[in-house]
Amino acid sequence: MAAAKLQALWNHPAGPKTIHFWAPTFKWGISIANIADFSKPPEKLSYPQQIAVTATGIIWSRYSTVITPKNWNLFSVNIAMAGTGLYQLSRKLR
Amino acid sequence: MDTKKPPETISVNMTGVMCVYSASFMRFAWVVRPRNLHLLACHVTNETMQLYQLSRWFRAQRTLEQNKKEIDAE
Repeated sequence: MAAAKLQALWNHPAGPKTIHFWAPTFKWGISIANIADFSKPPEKLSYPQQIAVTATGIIWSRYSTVITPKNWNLFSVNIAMAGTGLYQLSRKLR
Repeated sequence: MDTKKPPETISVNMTGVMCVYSASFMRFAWVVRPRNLHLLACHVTNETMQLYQLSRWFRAQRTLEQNKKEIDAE
């Protein structure tokens, strides 16, 4: 049963054998880098970059639910991106 | 925009990660059906810019180290 589940996951059209899996996975790095930068002083933050990170997170969240196959990995990474971007912007604005 | 700012303000974490991310999405844009050439162009541009920022940061770091050596030598 578990083996069958793993098999299905492995062979999914957006599974680990495809770029559909790895591209969003690398994109997690952006949110992680942003979280790492939470400890940096707000003056060092870049408005254009954080606005781009936030906007792209929001837009791509929508995109990942309308493409075929639906890509929940891509969806979740973009939600996280929008979240970290908004937080960084709030630090900068304060 | 950010290319006009001093290199010290570059976040090397973010820039390095952006290079990896952009490269992976260049591949994604090419493979996805229908092929998304617009997305590919966006990420090629992004990759180019991020690599440029990274090179500026490295150059700035090397300059700082050079200056430090000269000061220590005095």
